[in-house]
Amino acid sequence: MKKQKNDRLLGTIAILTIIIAWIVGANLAEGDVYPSLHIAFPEADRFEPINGSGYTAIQTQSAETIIGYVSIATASGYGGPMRVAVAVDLEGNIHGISIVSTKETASWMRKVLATDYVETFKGKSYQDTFQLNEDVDGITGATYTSRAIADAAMIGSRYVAGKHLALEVPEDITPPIQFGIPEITLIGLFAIGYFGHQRKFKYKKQARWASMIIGMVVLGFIYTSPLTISDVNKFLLGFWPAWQTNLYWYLLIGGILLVFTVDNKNPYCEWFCPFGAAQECMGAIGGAKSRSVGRSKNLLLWVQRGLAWLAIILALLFRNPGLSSYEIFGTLFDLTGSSWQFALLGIILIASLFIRRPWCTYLCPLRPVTDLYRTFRKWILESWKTLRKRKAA
Amino acid sequence: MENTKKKKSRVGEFVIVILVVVCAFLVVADMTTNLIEELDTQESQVVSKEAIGTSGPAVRPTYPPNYTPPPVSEANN
Repeated sequence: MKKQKNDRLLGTIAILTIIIAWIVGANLAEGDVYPSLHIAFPEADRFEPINGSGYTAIQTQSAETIIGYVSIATASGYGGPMRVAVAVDLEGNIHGISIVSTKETASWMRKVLATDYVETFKGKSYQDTFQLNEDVDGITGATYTSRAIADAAMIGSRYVAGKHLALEVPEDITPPIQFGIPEITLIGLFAIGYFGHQRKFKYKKQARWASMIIGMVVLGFIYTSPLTISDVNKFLLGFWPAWQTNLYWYLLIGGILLVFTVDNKNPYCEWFCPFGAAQECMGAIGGAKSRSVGRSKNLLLWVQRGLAWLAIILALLFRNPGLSSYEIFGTLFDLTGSSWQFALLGIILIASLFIRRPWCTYLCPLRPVTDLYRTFRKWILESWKTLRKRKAA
Repeated sequence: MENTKKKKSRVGEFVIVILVVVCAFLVVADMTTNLIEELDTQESQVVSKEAIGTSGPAVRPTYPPNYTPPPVSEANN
């Protein structure tokens, strides 16, 4: 009873601090765009703002001459909105582009910037389609980031062409709905989880292993799209991407929330989390067991909760969902991450040989989030029942 | 016999605590690195703004001979 009271009190404090961080983050000023304008249009000597977000690029060598325009276009990336400076010459061709601000996880962004992807937009016309893997070659393993840059380039160039150069701009095409193997797999895994959770179901163990292996291979190694704290941050920040191109995200978040709310069961972590499955595979090799931590249980629980809280607070303060995402999922499945993350991955994989799911039990930031959700769900249901009893009496 | 068992379980507990503390240190180090990177980006933008300046002298720009600029009222986002 005392533990429940403490959990509810600390949970309320956590939510209040999260709300404060959200408000503070929302009121912080956006970064300056001028450095990006100069990168996108290096030949320009100065930029003249046009009623807010567009800029005229001016050369001042002999006399002042307009050499083009720069528009600040926004498109949806994996971590949230991405602002891109799109420089366009007077014929409507892209002269250069530069990232003004991004919410993408640093390691994904580095992956894109390490290539000449941004350079491929030079010379593209506002009339081009900018479709990924048709008109523009995306970066494997960073599809959402590549698509966001391409979308921003299209939006920015067409805006300049239509508004400043008085050119006829092609009509905007509604993006096609992305419904492929990851989405189908996800629905299938939710279905396996639903039947597997039924008490009468005989093949629970087999179904769980099948679900984990499919999750690990398809959602982990092939598509690298497990649920991360960055998804939770995106949800809290209101960075909800276009559903047509991000159906997977909606199915994942919506499915988990729905099952949790209706059934109070976690359909994801134990059944098809790709990283959980990887740890269990290691555990099967080494004979891992759930280990008792005795009196340290509470300490370890609060270390895990503290890290998750810190990750959410930082993301909301800086309005950057991927900023504090410390999971090592991409490190394993895509070999992308910082040296700290690789060191962490090594320790966790070795520990998985002897301890059952060490990451999930002691470090994963999603567990405290689900704990908090459960605590408040129970609290609300209890309060509702009490209220009804009082009314009836 | 019981004492040995207790000792054994305490050793296991101690190993897990150390493991989690080391991992938590790596997590905090990773977050700090990302945070420093973010703050550096923000700071460099402010420095660049000061170095570049936002506008030049108030001289009327000239346009290329075959270019007709649109009316100012339409030129917004």
